[in-house]
Amino acid sequence: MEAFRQEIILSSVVIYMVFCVAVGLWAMRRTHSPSDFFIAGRSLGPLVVALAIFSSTLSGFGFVGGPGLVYSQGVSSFWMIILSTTGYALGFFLVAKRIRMIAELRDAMSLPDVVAARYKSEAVRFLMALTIVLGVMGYLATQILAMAVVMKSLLGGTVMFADISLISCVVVSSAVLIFYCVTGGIIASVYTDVVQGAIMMVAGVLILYTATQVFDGGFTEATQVIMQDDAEAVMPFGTAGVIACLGWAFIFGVGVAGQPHLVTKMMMNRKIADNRIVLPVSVIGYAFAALLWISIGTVMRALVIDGQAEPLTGPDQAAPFFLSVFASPLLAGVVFAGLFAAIMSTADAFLNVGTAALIHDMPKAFGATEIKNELLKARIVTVVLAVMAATIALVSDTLVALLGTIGWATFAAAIFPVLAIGLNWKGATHQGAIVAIVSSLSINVVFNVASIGLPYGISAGFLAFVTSIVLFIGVSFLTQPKIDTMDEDIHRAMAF
Amino acid sequence: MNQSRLCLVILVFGLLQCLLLGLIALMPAAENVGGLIHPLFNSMRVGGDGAARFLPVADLAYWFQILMLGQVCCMIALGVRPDRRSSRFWVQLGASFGLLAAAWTIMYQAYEAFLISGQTQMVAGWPYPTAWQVYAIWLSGFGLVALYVFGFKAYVWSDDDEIQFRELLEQSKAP
Repeated sequence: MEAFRQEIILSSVVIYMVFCVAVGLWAMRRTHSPSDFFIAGRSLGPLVVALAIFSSTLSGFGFVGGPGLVYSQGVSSFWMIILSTTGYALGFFLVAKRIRMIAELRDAMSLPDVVAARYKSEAVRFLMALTIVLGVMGYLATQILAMAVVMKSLLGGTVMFADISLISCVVVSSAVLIFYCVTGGIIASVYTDVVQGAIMMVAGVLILYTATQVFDGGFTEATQVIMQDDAEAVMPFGTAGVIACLGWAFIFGVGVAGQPHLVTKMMMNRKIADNRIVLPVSVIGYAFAALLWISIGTVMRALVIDGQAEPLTGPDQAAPFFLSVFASPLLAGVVFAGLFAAIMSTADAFLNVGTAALIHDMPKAFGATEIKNELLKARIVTVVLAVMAATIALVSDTLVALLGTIGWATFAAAIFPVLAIGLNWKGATHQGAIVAIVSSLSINVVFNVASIGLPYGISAGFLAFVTSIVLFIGVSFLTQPKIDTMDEDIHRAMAF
Repeated sequence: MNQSRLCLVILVFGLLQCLLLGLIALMPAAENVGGLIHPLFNSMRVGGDGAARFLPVADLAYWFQILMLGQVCCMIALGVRPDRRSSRFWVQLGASFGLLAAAWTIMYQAYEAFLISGQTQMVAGWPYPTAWQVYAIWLSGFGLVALYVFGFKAYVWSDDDEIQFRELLEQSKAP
């Protein structure tokens, strides 16, 4: 079997991609309206929603960047994972019920639709859509690039495709992504997410088992090797230090409820009562999948320090190297398919919310009351958005990096207070929402573009998130209207 | 406690967090505050002298996280209808906060003890403080998940809510 390692891995990836195309064709027959395309007609069962939520959370970053961070910085990046349980619970208490209620009351198809209904403000709708579009471009570009890089490294190991270019890999991987997103919209996206989520869970558990077998003394020996080299690397705050870790814990824990590609899925379930099942399944699924992040990075660091492996050229090589040397060909095939699954499940979710922001929310923010041929336009814009992101990924590293700064942290800072607190507090005002979104975008962009560093590893995203919560509540208290202007149905929905 | 008062508490927590971050930013930082390049391997970083970079901000960082956990629990209360926040709810939420805070505190104290003594034991594959981080802090969040799952009908969505929501939908869709 070892002799056919490359063929087995490639076959796994090809089977997965053929599956995605097949699901796209199947879902196309179930997609009849913009509501089907963007929110699956609010018809999904709890297991589908749960797997879609957690698989969208753990992107390619979780499978490649995460292990790389552990290899490079030790335990520090664990803080991006371990508060996920708390963060998911917070998101379900604050958002899951109300976003689903408003979605059904107003036939809302997107997050900006929901906040526009809540605040009766097209300015808030526009700013929310703008934040989503900016963030989506960055995320999509990095996901497509990651997919192409992995594909190139896989195909580069074969005789037939040894000289394949990065552009060709971008074209092939984007084509599959575009095909199933355009044909099947969010229905194709969530049903592929189910399989993607299952693959990610299995891969996480199997890799953890494999990692514990690398050293004779198991995981304990691996961590002892690291500890003898630098004790801080395996202590709770790793090499990055306590404040950087607290920032990650805050952004990745509390900020879960501010991620548009996740909370939009809370609008799609058939019944609000299903959330009781969705939350635990999402949390447990995420925990299993994240085992890969922790185990590969730790073992690879120990192997290099111990002299059993050559030093890696870059941290992102940790996962591919581990899989190529220590995992059986079948497991490597599953994990590589899981890697594509992780990247695609995030990319398709972003493609969907980005398309909704462009085709549905922006026109409405500028006064359009009815959008004709919305389904056709949505399909066209999905293609355009993906092609633009792929082009950005290929043409400009700087632009990818700039847009990448408007990632998770900016979504958390700009969206969390406006959505999660705003849906539960009638005293929240549109002025508060506008200030929160503008301040979080400004802090993130200015600090990152001007490369302004803060002491003790305080990141711009961390600062923006803490500040936006304070500004949102503070400005809302200062701008309380004398007369309640909220629509009656929203008023009543918020009383539940 | 009504929603506005809860938001006021969340605001106060947020302002205190800003204050703590400001104080941290003013503290003199050790050379290795964000780690250093590994002397042998370029693609790795090392933490170096943990006590030099951690102890000056240890108390501020500890209280920042406690404030964050308190803020999270207040936000969870915000997500529950005021008339459903029974004594039982507050006790259960308080216990969940206690779990989160206890796991954080024990991990923190274990790490401080290691920095002072240089000694630690291995527990389930990790040094003792990290074992508290990986197992206890991660798992302590399940208190809040349990509150949601087992208290769903009492705090989040009852059968009566479903009926009332259907009525609201019918009224709002009526011509």
